[in-house]
Amino acid sequence: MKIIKTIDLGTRLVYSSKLVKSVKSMFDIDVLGFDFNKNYEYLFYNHENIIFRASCSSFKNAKKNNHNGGNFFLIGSVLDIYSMESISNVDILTIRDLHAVKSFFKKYGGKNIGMEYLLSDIRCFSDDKIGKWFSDMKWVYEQCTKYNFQFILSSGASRYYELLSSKVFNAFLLKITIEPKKYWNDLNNWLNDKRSLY
Amino acid sequence: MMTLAKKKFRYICIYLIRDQHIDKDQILAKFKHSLYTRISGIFGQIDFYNCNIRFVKINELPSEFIIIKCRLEFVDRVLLSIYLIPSTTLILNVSGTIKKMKKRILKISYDINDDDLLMEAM
Repeated sequence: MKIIKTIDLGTRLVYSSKLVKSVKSMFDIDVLGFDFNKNYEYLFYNHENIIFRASCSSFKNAKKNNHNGGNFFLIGSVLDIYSMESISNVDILTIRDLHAVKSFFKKYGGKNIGMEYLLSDIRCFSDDKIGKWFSDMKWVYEQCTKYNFQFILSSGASRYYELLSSKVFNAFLLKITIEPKKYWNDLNNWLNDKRSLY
Repeated sequence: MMTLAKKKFRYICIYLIRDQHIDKDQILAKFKHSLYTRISGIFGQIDFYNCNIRFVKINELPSEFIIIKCRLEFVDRVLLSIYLIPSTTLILNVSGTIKKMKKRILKISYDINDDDLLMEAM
């Protein structure tokens, strides 16, 4: 049995059991994150290997609809420098603008927030921008370790072909100089912590 | 005495999602061009030539499956570059031998040809 699971928390796909099975067999990804707003009708079933992502406003609704209580939710938000108030109660923050993060670390350090970067965002970057992105990620990872944030890389896939296999994830991690085994282990532990608080 | 170490290679299998309006040879040519430009753009010309990229043709496989052969030490760079091409491709598998690769492709080809899944992709 696999103890450390490979996880893609940020997909914008519509759930189907076939999809989860195929992603496991083709890409070796064990756990997938789905947007609650796109998939609320699937809450009636218990899903071991999927995690629902809800926004702050839809979380209450999500919990109410989680009749059997078997599903696990993460409250997610996109970082917006103009509305920092909403950050304090989120589990996972999606970062699209790196400049916004610089002042963020000291202020919200120690809250065990997940800081997520979407790989689908960089697919259309130019070569020099990609080079800069890798160097920025290295800095962000160092800051995350220093201030106790969980660094998260997600596919951000809204189409099937935007999904990544665990091998491609590992290639990204190695290029950012993160040891893949440590990354997956930390992410598993972080999710277990969140699950215990849920 | 000088020893000649044998170069090790890896085979990467990708799936090119068909566009009914474009000829498949044209799609492949476009993909090759984008891949070469991306690798040399991100990692430089030296690494591009060191990757030793070859496209392997296997007659038994459907034309959508493309096998790329590259040097073992550079396989991560090739994987990243394939992902970073904004095209409709799926990176399916990395293997050390063609034989293992074929076996794996046959196993997953059922999933990949599933209409429901492709509906998501199109």
